[in-house]
Amino acid sequence: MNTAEGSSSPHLTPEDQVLAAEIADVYRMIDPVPATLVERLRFALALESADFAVLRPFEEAGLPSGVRGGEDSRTITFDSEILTIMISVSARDDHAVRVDGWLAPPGEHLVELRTGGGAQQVRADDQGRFVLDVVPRGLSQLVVRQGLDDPARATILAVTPSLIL
Amino acid sequence: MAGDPATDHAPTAGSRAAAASAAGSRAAAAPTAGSRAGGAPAGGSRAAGSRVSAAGAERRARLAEWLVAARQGDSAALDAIVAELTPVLWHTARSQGLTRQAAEDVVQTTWLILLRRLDTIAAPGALIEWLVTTARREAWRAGAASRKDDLPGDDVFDDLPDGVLTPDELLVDDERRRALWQAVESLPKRCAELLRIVAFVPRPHYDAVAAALDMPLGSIGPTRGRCFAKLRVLLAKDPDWSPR
Repeated sequence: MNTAEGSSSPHLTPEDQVLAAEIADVYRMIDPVPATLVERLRFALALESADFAVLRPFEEAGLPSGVRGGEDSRTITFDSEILTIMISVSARDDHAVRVDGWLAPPGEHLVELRTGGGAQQVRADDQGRFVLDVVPRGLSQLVVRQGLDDPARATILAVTPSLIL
Repeated sequence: MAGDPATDHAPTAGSRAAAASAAGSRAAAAPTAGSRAGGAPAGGSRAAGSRVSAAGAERRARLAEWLVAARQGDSAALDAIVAELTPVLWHTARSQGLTRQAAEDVVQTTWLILLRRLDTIAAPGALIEWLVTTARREAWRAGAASRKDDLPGDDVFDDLPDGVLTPDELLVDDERRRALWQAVESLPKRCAELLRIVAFVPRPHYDAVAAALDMPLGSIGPTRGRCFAKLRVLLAKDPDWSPR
């Protein structure tokens, strides 16, 4: 279908290009990409494999959006094709939080919480519950692995985007 | 926690610079109103256009190299692609009426989904098309999940934290840009979205993005032409706008 007419059309005229560049300038100014987003992406994408389900976050109804960092306690639900995770994050002190979680359908998966300082793993119980008692505040990511006896061989089943705890 | 995950990766200078420039863009933006005019005397739009094209060709070559390397597992190359193309995904998500928080989630989700698909994507144009398509679908999904009673789209700037300026405040001393912003925002939604996204696409990949926006290739000229034409009509009526 790439007719002579069609093949010439994709190119913007020089005038359109200048206007497009000015539009980009305007939106860069009024709605900039969050300064830390690329860094958070680099952290979230640094995984040893790629064959996993993505757990999409959504805030519980009633909570204001855009304030995922900082409150004393909050609940976040993540959903994917294969499993759903709900976490409740409560403040311990200025440096740490406690994470109570529940995954469904229940399974004795390994739940790993990656942070800038390393990762901690717990095994969900047969009801799907798990607790990460002391988690440093800051950038983190939940990674769900197979519930193998040897955690080093447990491949990744699902991951969340990075979040600020 | 002061842990900086980025320090685990050696070749971060480029992305770090990108993040720094993003961080500084708001502060730096105000005094640069005349920067484009600076180097371009009369007849400047043609010169500026070819400058943009040359930069676009360079970006295309670079992106193709990064894509080859990333598919072979080079994480620094993937990071470079992420830094290069996150802006177009950000503006794709935001043009769908998502809050900044929701848009960040959509951009992250889009890149995470890409990891599994990277092997199947051979060319930069296909990569951008896939990314924009996926970001729009994820944005729609996130919007559907969080839809409140408000009409979508008219509260995009209502979630600004205290102390952050609204577009009107940011552009108060820049009639030209404020006129442009108001003109784009008053276009039909489809055109406003198209122009905003296209503005952030590396130029040679425009056709890929038009495809991602569900416009068959044969119709993208007229559609793009209509959107730019509508914009020009609005701008021509605005005394604050002076064509360059």
